[in-house]
Amino acid sequence: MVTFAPRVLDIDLEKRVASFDTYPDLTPLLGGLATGLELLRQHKENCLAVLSVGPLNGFFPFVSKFCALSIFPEGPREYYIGGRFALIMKFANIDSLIVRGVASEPLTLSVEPSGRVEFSPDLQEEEFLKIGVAGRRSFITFGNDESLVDNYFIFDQAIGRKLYMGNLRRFLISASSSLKVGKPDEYKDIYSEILKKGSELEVSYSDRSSCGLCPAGCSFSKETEERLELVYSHCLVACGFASRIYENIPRIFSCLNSIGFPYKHEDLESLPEKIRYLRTHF
Amino acid sequence: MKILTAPHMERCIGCFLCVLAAGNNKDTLSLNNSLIRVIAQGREFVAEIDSGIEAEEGVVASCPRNCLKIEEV
Repeated sequence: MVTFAPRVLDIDLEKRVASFDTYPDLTPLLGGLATGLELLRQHKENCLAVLSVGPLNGFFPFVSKFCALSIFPEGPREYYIGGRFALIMKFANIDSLIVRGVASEPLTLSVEPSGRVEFSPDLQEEEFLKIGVAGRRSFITFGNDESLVDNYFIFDQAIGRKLYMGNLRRFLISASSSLKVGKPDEYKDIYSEILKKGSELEVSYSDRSSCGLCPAGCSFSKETEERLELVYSHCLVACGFASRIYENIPRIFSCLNSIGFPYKHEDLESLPEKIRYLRTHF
Repeated sequence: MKILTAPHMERCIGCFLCVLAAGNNKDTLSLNNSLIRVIAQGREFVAEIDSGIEAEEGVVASCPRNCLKIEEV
């Protein structure tokens, strides 16, 4: 039986160290929002932000975003951000990122295809565009006024500014891993079925730059999402505009089963309650 | 031999569905082993295709914008 333990990259900007850890106890939380909230709760001391993907990122259409979380005086805030960062993060075998501390000087961070994390003094745009593997990389740039994913998609500026103040200027990930599919025939069928559900989106297909594994290219693709009423979409982490597709326990169960993640119905059904608890216990 | 070509990349929205389709090998998904790379250049995208590998129709069908084509060489 395959088990799914989130693999977390913990980055300390102040000490310039990074380490990978797995969190088997967080498996029932599914991913994305719930995993991110729990990591934020466990590491709140000097944590600037937690970024998380979910179990279906990289596998299924419309599961195209990552969850960004940070603690503010009024409590944790969550945002859902597009681009190709979630896809590349998944193919770099990273489920969550914890970023903590304040660097002594502006930094560029790069997760190389080998998995090694490189801390460099802030690079100029021209130099930065040469690092990583073209077509297999995604990045976030942090500014005082604007933070962007892949130079186009908006990264929430409340969290972006925190990371900028932590002296993180650019963060790049290159894809390095493969994803195993537990039941390839079932997976193929479900993938095709979901891809045909474009008419269930709350947005129309357009010709804008799209998020990874979303065929819609909708006119909202670059916007940050902040809809607190969704549970499953935010844990998977699917686009909120695809909530009619992914706020559906039997479908989620089928998707997870096809790729070999043995979640239980009880885990899925108890998720709303767990999230309510996590959101209010900081 | 059937090879993949990308005659209409001006339509590409960078969804990477083709990259995933071309990197789907039975029970493994991979971006690194895909025969196509989609590279952002500003607001546009270009494709780099390994023309030494036989292409499948499924990769062409995966593109929602009809950017790709298979050609016999």
